Amino acid sequence: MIKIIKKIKIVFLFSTFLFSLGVFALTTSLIITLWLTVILIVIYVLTIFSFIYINKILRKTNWYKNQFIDIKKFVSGLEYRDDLQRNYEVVNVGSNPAKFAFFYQDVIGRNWSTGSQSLKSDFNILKYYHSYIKEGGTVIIPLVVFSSVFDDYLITAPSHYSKYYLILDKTLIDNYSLWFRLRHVTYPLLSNPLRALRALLKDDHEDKRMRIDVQLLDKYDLERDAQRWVNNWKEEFDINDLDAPITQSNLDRKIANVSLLSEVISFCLERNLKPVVVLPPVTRALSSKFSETFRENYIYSFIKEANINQVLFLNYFDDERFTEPNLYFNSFFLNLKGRKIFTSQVLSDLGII
Amino acid sequence: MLKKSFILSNGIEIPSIMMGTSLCDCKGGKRQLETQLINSCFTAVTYGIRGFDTARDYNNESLLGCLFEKLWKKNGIKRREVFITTKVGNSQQRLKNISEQIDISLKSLKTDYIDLWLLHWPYPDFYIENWKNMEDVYRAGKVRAIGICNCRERHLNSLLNAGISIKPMVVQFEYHPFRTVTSLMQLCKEQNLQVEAYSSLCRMLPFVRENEILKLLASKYGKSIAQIIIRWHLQQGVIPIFRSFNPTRLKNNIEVFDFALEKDDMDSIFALDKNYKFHPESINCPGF
Repeated sequence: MIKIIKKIKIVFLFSTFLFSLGVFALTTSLIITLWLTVILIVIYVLTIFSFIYINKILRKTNWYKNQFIDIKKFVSGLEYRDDLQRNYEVVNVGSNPAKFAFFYQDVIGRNWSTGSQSLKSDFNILKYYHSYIKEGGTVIIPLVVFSSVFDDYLITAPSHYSKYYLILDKTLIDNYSLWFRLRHVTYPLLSNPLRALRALLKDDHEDKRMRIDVQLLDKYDLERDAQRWVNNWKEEFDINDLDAPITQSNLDRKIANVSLLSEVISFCLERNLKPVVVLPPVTRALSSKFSETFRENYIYSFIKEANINQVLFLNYFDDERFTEPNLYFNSFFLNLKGRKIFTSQVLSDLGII
Repeated sequence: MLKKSFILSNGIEIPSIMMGTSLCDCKGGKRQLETQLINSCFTAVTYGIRGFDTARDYNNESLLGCLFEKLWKKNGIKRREVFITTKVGNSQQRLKNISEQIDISLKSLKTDYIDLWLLHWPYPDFYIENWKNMEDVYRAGKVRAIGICNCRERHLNSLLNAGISIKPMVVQFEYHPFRTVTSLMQLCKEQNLQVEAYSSLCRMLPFVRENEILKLLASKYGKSIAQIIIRWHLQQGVIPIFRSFNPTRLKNNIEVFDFALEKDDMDSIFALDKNYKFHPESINCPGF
């Protein structure tokens, strides 16, 4: 009997021990789980805040700001409530050569070039902002040497396209995506993390090209720069010989662009605006690379076919008045001094000043 | 004596003054603005204003629906005494389900008919087809009149030449002494389309408040500049739409039936035109 009681005691003590151990283990694991949860929450919150903070800093970097440098030219959204200027007398659209070609001083004018900008984006900008232009106002449509065969896909790279998310209605943005906006506009860290981190460590220089008023290249470098542009275009448009007949793929694009340019011109005319096609000047170093055959195939035939409404075409491509290299900062883009002189000439030719 | 209401081409009576309810251009907290709007609408009713102009895109149809319900139930105003205008916006136009859109507006505004239903914009590629669907809604009796806003002559001409069976009864656009769009007004007159003017006071922007001609006329008639402009609208048979949160200003704005502008003074106001648009249309309607 005593033995049985002893055994029961042992079993009881052992069970109590096991129970205590279980309770201890359970309590410990609960505490650990709780701590882990707290730690995870803290890490999560810190990550979120760091993410938001890093993006806030990134949006202040030149790397980010340079991508959106041209959006200030537009009175978008509800900004019209505070910016009461209306009835612009003249605006221009166009790509980089236009951005560096027009500077309006004595008229109410706006340069609506945002750097890399296709004819399709020109059209979208006009669709969205044309009500700011006065009745009968002038719309300058600048073209460049390869406008005829340019395709929108060439500048759909996020760094070139994200700016439109800030200045256009989403119905005018091809394949509009909220995710794209979040990645490339709101949270730039997501767009290219390595590039973004590099910008945090060593930021890019501020894009001050609009302020340059001298030629930065000597005669030798100017020639090299012109050749570099030509080589890049030949590669971009898959052209071996500039004087060869236009290739089928380029011809297809040209046909599409003829239709598009024609549509842009008609759009302006229907709205009682005065469209003018302008071919801005380039340095002789660059213009000399393009023969008459090339010009006919790629430029003049394009304008002729698109200009069914016979609007004014002003050709300054190798205008003697603008061949002086000191009016440019490279072989292609006018500097501030050249921009002012050229714009005055265009406005004078248009009878605006 | 100038009438306090006009008659539309289909015989419907429309108040000659309309209270605007858009808060889109206002700055401030949403809740605070909505409270101010409701208070000013009640004030407007006490002053005798019976026309209210809203739109789906103003995001306040439900808010006004509550206001109207109070008017019917607590203030003893009858539904037929109030003229309700609303509009179908671009995002709804894209859906092309016009007959469903009117039901949403009716439900929000807590009414079984709308007095005037407008296409908010001549939205390219959509507005003509949607207009034809609006005609069906009109025939069904859910709206007493239909019209279109923010159009230019080219839009009106396209619409009128698109084989429509019912012409707009009302055309609403930005119209004030600094934007007199003579040829559009002429077209509306020729087609017997009632014109409503939004931003009728040109928001009383600094160049309006400081305009010497208007100041001179205000002094001559012993009225405010706003009263002079509103009277100028009414004397042309144009319905001015305005909104003010200030009860005194609201009251002043409707005290315009006790004087008349002389022809020369009307003309000198017309001469102020510089085609100034406070609302650039294409920003609200891409491709406009």
